[in-house]
Amino acid sequence: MLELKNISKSYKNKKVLVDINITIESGEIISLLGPSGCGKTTLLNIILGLAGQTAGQLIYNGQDISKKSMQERGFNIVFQDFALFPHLNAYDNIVYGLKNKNKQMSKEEVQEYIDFLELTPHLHKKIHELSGGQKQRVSIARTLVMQPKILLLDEPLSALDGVIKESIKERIKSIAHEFKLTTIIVTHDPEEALTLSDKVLIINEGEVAQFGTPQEIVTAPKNQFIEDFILRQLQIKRHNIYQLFGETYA
Amino acid sequence: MKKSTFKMLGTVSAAAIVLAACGGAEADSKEQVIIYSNADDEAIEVMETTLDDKGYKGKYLIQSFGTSELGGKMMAEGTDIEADVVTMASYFIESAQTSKSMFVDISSDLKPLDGGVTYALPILGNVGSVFINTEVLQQKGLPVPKTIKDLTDPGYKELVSFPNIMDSSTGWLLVQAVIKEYGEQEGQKVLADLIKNAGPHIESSGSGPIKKVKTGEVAAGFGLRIQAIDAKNEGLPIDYIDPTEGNFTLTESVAVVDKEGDEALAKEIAKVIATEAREGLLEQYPVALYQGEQVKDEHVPAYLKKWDTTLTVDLLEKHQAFFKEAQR
Amino acid sequence: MLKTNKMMKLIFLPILLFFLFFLIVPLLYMFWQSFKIGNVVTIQNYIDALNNIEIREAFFNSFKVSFIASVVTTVLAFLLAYAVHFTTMHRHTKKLVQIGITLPMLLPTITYGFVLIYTFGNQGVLTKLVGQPLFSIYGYNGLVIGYVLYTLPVAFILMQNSMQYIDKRFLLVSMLMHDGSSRRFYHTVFRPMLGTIGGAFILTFILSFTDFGIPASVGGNYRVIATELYQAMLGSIVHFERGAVISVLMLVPAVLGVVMLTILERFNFQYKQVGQSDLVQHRLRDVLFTAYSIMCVSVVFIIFSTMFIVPFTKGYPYDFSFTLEHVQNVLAEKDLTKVYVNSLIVAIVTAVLGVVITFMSALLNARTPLRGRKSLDIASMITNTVPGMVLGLSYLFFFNGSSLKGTFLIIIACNIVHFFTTPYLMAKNSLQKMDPTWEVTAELLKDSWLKTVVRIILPNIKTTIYQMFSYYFLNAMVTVSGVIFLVSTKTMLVSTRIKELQHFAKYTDIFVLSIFILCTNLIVKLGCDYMTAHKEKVEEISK
Repeated sequence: MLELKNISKSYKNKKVLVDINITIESGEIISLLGPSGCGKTTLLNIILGLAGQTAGQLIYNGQDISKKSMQERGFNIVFQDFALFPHLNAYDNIVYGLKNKNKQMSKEEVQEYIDFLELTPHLHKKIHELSGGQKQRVSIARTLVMQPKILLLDEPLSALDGVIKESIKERIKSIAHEFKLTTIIVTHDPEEALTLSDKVLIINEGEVAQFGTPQEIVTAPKNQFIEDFILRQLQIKRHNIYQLFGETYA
Repeated sequence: MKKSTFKMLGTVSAAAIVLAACGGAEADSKEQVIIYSNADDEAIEVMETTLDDKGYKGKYLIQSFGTSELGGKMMAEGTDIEADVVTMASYFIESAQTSKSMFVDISSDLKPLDGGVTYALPILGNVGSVFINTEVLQQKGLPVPKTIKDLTDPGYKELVSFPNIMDSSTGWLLVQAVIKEYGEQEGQKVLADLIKNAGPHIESSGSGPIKKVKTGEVAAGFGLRIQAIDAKNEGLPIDYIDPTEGNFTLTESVAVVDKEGDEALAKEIAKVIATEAREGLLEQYPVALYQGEQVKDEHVPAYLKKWDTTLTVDLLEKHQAFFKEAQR
Repeated sequence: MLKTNKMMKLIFLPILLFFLFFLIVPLLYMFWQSFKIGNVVTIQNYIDALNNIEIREAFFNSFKVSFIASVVTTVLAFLLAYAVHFTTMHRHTKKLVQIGITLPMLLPTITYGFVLIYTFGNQGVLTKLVGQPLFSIYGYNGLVIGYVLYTLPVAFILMQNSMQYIDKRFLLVSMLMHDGSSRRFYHTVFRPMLGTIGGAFILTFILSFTDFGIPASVGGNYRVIATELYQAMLGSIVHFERGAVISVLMLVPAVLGVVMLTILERFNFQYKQVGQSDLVQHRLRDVLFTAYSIMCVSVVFIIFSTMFIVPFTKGYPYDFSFTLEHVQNVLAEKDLTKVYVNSLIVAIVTAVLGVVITFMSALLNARTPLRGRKSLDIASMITNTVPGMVLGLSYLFFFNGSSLKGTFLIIIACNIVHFFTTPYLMAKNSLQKMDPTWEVTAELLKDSWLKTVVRIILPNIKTTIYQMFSYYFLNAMVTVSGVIFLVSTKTMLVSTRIKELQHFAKYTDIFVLSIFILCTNLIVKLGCDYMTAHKEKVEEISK
């Protein structure tokens, strides 16, 4: 369980985040949703430990980790463009972090992850020979073998083609469930956030606009911002799709 | 958009103008007589001043070379050489004439002491000597040398400088003195020790050693006697020493390159150098070359000596080989 | 797709002819000469040269001293570039490094040697301060220091460019993966830089191996191949065939180097995008690198400061009172001002014509479907390989007796060919980055191809053009090795005149002329940089 208590962040006089208070249960998938520049990436960096908060606390399983370094926290992240080492092949990227761990993971265990992500046929390929989806999976595998306490995903779908998006969404859901892994996703796409996660944290101009399940957000938008920018988009999409297929498909 | 087109046109036309200007400059300088010279800058200054005074300003260009460089050029290019006039060590001019017959006749009523030849006129004479920086000598606690051989003392390690015979005719004066005094065998050893002592201070130019002695980079050097006299008169802590091995001499001459009849101005200029400039050159290089010339007593070296046979390029090459042998 | 048109061919032909006559044919001719004794074709010249102890020694010496110098340069340059890109030292310090280290590039290499003599020699400034010479500057030591000073800017710029394109977020990944510092350094910096490090090493090696200016000034009696070549061609006894053979021998490491560079290319990989990530603060690291950077820049400044001390003191090293006498003397000497004007003419014409030729070549290569356009890449590769001295010598052989001999044109042509590669690649890169559909769009709007080039391509490549101009100008101003065989009395340049002044040991004149070159180059460089920056600013505002 991760608790964010009164997290604030400001650069000089500019307030980037103001009093963020949320609680994330273990094994949940949470999306951080908001327009660009709203502060969601900053929040991600604060959780990860890359950036410090100006005020507030982070509590993980009852322990205050506010002052702990990125390495000590043991969270991990998959970057938007995957950041795979270009000079290593897929397999070497996956096992990259293992060499630094005291507790050795057995070959079988690694293979389990590889199988789960269906990467066996691609292990000996160079990075530039992989497709976008394959790179994504390699990057996830590399992070998972480190057995992170929380998995952070930065815009995981934005670098992928349309068709593959849906399958990756399913994959992320199954990872979270299979490994009971708390997963935090940053996205700017309402559809993605609402269809992928258990709870969505919508941020606007550094403040929490709403935090709740997708259902709550759709049925009970808390304010004008949610209606205008989040729901309106989805409604237009729905309208367009209905027009294409006809109301009966609804 | 228009503006950049204009700019582009502007640049191109500027380039055209510059090109035209170069063309113009070249066409203009076609008339100039080109003088190749191995002389030191003091001598060149005298020649320039005299020529300018006599109304030849802008009608000539002097290009300096090391003796060996110029010699190599003469031997390799013959009459194809860029120069119209050459001033050079006399033995080199003689050898070049023998093998390439590249100079035209400039005989006149001038009476050189040394008999002379029809295609060249002597312009200056060089005398070799040792010189020292008295301050550095004292500082390093070294005795005042009397001979060239004294400079082979280990105390002079990296503190002595002399011109390289491979590049400079002044260097030859040193080698002549050593061979003449000590013979081939002992001479070889003296030279080898001297080379070891000089280390990096073996200069390609005849004026290199005096500069190094002047700045105190080294304590003693071998070069032209007059260089040391001048430095001493300037009030620098420099003194000249006539080595007992002998003050050997070399003359330099002027000659006109055969340009198939197009030598009128070149001949005039060569004559001016050999006659009008002579007064100034005699002051700088106090060695009498023509009948009736006189020099001051201080300029008469103590041990004036001459090599037994006529100096030729062949002999130079023999002595160069001797030097190289000592270098090993 | 854009179709080949007459105009393209019309531009292509003269460029092709230019390279044929000023690159290919002279080199082949020289190569042919190296196999001839009189009229007999033989390899005897090579046998003679290889049996010649002095040439072998010079070759070996060149190899040794260049190798050491390149190792030192590569390490120094890597650390400097690392300090600029991977530490959080103060941005002023970073700027200082970027400017200070590259400043010597504005001077001819022959000046480096004299500056060293006046710093480390028996009467050198540093020697005076310390009390006794630290080491003998002539020969091996001087060459190593000189080569390092000469090649450090090039290696530094190369590494800097490369590090700029390293994805800094890998540092973060590495930290998340709990890497130790050495493993992090290997995977995030060293391994990505490996190709560049190798490239920088080879490049500096070739530069040192083929440079003439530094051994000419500070070489002493330490034989290297460049001075040996000079001796063979302009020494007391001229050996044309030997000169040709030495040039070919000089080409061998250059060719090998270029081959190795292409192999090293495989070690390079491109990051798709360059993620910026804040570097982690690390006090000790930053302090150490700041100290190192400032030390390096100070050494460069101290060494080159002698250049400004000697000509303004009355009688170095006896009379240190300030005087402008020496400068006035130089200014008064018609001869010296004339060579300065000559240099200026050569540099300007080289830069203008050079930019035209490189731009046209790059344009034809990068943005037209012209047949045979790849030949320009080959030309660029050859010009990159051939040392300036070898190119100059091949001209001497080939144009001897022609009316081009002893003209400015032959010097300018030599410069344009010698320095072709870099501006060509600069232009090509810029052109390739531009939207490939512009020509077609313009054609649909009824513009002719040439009009498109003038109206669309040129305005968009302006900043690169300024940089190309600056590159050509500076190099034409400082080159010695490229033109040493080509200058005549009427076309004497400042850089070659320095060689001549050395003969008379007129060091003050040398330094005054060097200061002239430095100032001229500084003005041109700052001017070009200003125009580039100005242009970029205007573009930003208009956005």
